[in-house]
Amino acid sequence: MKLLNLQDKKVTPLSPQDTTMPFEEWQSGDAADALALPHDLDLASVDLDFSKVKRLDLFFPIYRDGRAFTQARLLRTRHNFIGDIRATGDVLRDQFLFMVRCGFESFILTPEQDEHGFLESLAEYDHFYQTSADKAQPVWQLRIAQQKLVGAA
Amino acid sequence: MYRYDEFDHKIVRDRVDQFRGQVKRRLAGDITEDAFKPLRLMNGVYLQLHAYMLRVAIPYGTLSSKQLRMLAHIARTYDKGYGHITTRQNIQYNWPALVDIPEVLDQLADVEMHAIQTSGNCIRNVTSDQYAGATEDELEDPRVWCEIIRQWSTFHPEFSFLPRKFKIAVSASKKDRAAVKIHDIGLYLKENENGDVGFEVLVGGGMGRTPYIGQTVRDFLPKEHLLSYLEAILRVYNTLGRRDNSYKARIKILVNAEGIEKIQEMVEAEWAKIKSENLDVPQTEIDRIQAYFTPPAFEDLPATSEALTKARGASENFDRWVTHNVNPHKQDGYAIAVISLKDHGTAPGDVTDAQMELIADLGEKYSFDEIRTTHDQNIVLPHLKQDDLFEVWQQLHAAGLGQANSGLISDIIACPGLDYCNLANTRSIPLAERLQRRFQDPERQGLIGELKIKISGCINACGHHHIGHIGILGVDKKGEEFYQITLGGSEDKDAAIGDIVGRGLSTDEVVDAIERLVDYYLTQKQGEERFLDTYKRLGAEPFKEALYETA
Ligand code: SF4
Repeated sequence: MKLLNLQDKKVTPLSPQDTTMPFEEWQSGDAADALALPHDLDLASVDLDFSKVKRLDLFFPIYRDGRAFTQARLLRTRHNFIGDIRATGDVLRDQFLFMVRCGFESFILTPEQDEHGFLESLAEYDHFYQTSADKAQPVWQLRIAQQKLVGAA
Repeated sequence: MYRYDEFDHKIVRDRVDQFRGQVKRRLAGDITEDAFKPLRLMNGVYLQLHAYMLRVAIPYGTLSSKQLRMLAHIARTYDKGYGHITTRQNIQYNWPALVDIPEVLDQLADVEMHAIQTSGNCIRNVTSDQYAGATEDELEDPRVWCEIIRQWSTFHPEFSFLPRKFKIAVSASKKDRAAVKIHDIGLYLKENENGDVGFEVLVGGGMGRTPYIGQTVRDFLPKEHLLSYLEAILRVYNTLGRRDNSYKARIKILVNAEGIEKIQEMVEAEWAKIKSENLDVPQTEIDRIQAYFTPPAFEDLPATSEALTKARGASENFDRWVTHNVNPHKQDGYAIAVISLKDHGTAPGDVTDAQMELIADLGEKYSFDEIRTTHDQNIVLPHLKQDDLFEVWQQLHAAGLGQANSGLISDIIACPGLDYCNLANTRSIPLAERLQRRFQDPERQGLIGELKIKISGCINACGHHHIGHIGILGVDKKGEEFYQITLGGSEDKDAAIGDIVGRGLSTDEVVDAIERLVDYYLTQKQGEERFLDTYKRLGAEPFKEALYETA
């Protein structure tokens, strides 16, 4: 397995020191740098303090199971989590852009997966219609900015 | 109607390029059919019994003549010369080659069309009233909101891998022509006591093996909060919807397991938190989209047309067509006409390339360049001058499109069934044809009046049999085709799931049995009663007796 990091766009082998604590252990009071959240955990209303955690791993048991998209977005927008959010499990090239838009920053790939394809897929779209957890301005905001430019000219 | 700006164009074009790359990877063998499946599904490409099938989105059923001509061109060039209008107002092609599909999508993009999210477990094409912007009983044009939803739902990063597909419909009329209550989310535009316009939001309707009528989750939502509210519902569903069993994965199952109060509580709590997260489009954007739906430049005309009255007197066939297929328009001197795609010797909803060309010409010349597809698989010309109706009808009639049966017993909805679909138990289309032949006589059809027959070839209910006044469901009994009848379903504001009346009928029995049912209704009918009204008044028992000849 290898690790793709969005910040430097680099792939590194997964190091053995790179360990993750299961959620139950963390809940029973152990401190952790990195924590794996269960994919059926509802983050909408839970009162958990992730401020001492550097990384949260979210799991895609199969590409069809899109719960981790909501989890990631809630971590960014509701829990104001600023650490690394990592995608594990069935991580597909063709979902990569959605993951990035929901707030994921690092990704576990299989050795056969081509990270260049993943990174290329980020350039497949220039514009997005909706607000998400990334910095992209939705199209309606771009339209307003464009109107202002036209108005000013 | 809405026109793309540079952003819309770019997004759709990017999708074509992306899909071209995906097809290339598949054809080169870089990805397996298994891995390709979710990619093609996100773009409306299914693998059917015989070939790939491509479903093209017709957002809320609105087309220009230029777009319809393109659909005709695709039918001619890449398919066998016809297309099929679906119950989501989309068009389906049953025979394209996979290698051609990127090219088809490219040509569609030229006329501001696409196949985005016409399949897959995502938010599907939003549907609406086919008379939107034309009907006299409407509060405002619901398509403004449909377009806002279309844009918001397109490639939504959080909601593209939901537990199951997700369907939204919007209506703004007293009469519900969009079957709003059988949608995952149904939206009725309404006015509150202060005269403000907003939405009644329903959730959890749906067909399939466990049909449910949608329930109100919010009685009045101020319009400007639509997207944040939808986002709250979708988030609750994406988190809590079942993923262990695809038959139990629709939001209707969640709503009915938790109860509507609990769902309401969760949705409202979520909405309270995200309301101010910059999710809703601002008024300037609503105004921008609204401007595309300003009514066309209608002429000042008298309310009734002398030419029309004269033509009706002169031609019995035309008169009948006006009676059944022409509806009142909000503008004096205009009318809405339904072009029936039923009972013309082909499958319900099928339309040939030549017919599409003709309808495009008529739309351009007589209907301010606007054409609509309907969820009951017909086509509508929404803005015709009453003075022009006879001329329009003559041309339709000559092309085999003059059937005067809108809303009548031969205006049948049928799913593709065993002829195309690999999940089917029974054929649907041949049964529709047999019923249409049995009730061919226009006189008799007129006498029977409004009667909606809907046929599904299996329990997945794509033919919406649950909400047919008469519903027909194909079942398999030891390798033999049987048909189960439901009675009393409805898709209007009084939406109801039909009652299952008894044992399945064999292919040989079913047409006679339905005729007995209809004849019984005719003997009992009081005044202007429709089949459904008589059924409600008398209850299932006597109809059952007629159906099974037990009396
Ligand atoms: S109802 Fe069944 S047979 Fe008909 S199209 Fe749907 S899945 Fe196929």
